[in-house]
Amino acid sequence: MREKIVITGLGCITPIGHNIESFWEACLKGEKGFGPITHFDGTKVKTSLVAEVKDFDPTKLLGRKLSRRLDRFSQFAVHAAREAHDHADLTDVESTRIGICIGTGVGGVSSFEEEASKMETQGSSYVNPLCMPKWIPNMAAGNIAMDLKIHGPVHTVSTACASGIDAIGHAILLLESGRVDAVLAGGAEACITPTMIAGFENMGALSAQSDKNLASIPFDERRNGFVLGEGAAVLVIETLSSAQRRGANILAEIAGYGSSSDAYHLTAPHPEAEGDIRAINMAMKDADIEPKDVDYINAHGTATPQNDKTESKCFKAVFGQELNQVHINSTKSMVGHMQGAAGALETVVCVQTLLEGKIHPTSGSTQIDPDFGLTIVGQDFIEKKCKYVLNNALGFGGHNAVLILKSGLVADSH
Amino acid sequence: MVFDKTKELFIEIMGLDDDEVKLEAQIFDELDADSLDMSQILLGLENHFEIDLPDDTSANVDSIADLVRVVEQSRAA
Repeated sequence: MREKIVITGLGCITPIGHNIESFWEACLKGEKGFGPITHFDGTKVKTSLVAEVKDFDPTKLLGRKLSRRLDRFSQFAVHAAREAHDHADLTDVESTRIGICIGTGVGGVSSFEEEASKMETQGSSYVNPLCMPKWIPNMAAGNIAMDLKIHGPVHTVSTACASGIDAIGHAILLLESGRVDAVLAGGAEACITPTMIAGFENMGALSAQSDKNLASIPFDERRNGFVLGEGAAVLVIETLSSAQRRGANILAEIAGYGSSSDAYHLTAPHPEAEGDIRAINMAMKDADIEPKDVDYINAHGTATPQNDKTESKCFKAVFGQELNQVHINSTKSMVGHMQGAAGALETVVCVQTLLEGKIHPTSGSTQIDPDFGLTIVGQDFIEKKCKYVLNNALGFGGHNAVLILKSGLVADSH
Repeated sequence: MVFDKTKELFIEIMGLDDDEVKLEAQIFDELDADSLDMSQILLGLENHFEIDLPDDTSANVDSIADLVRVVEQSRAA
């Protein structure tokens, strides 16, 4: 029988909270962490709202020298990893038996843009030698390893907006292979830059709203695109035997993982959600459950017209009549779209939902599109004791990634 | 003048305090500079003074005073 995989630690930094406690509290209140652009001159772009991480001082985290050496996405990753590492009290696992797997969509793109601008305006001799080690996408994982002195396999997964879930999926495969006992897995992103926003804008993906209550409103009939977010989330996942051996506090079990490709279009999901349906079915088979067993779905829910329409088709196709019993929300209604970190943060939400029996609101989505036939959690959180919860993510390139978490191991393991 | 700019770069790039960057300070043994620090500092000096420092500058300096001397020699050349 395959060894069970469990979650024993959580950490995050988000536009609505710098740690798990403050993030979850804001989530339950439905706080929308959107505001004007402060990272650069916002008049360069049309978009007026972004979801920035506020009041983050990297020098407090890393000191003056090191904070200059890490791009913001790596700083976020280290911040979240320290919290998760402490939460899991991972000091009693041998460092060579711990791995790291961090997802990111674009890595240190702000550092790259800054140096590319110097190259154009000042010339090659002004490009910072730190350009490379700051922007390359593997450096979130690499910097966590250096910070926490972790010596096992250290990897990076990049599947666009599915990166956060696929990073956890890769960690599951590492654990199942027997190569490691625990993995710090998650995602990190800091891509609120002029070029990234312009690119998303010109694609028509971003919300042009200036009223934050009308921006990023997933599954609402007035939905008008996503708000670009940033941050990181890291989870400690480990084999059940490792967690039991060291008496760790088991937060949830990872029951299933599914992954598939649409092989269809650069950016659009398959119109009948063919790939996402297969990913969900793969995860349910992995978890050995049926549609009736799923209590809650944390949807990808980007609030773009196309995503929400296709995702609702997917849920209808998979769950059929059982869909009435499933409560659905989208964390992106509050933190925006954290890209490669989104799936990891939403997995954190799934764990909190299992632990606390509360499903957070879909903030601002007050006019749910009736065509979808979905039970979207409205403006107040609801109480619901869940046994199985599902986290769904899709990424440019046709990536689909799904995790199913299960509660109850706390009772089972003692 | 060269010392002032050198000091400014060490403070900015290495996050040092003002009183740590003295002429007699040992760049590697005392201030704990590594190759990434040095590549940034040397590039900053080259751009500011519009000079080309020798490729082996890092290998041939121990103290801040040594580095200031190499920069002054390059400026005079």
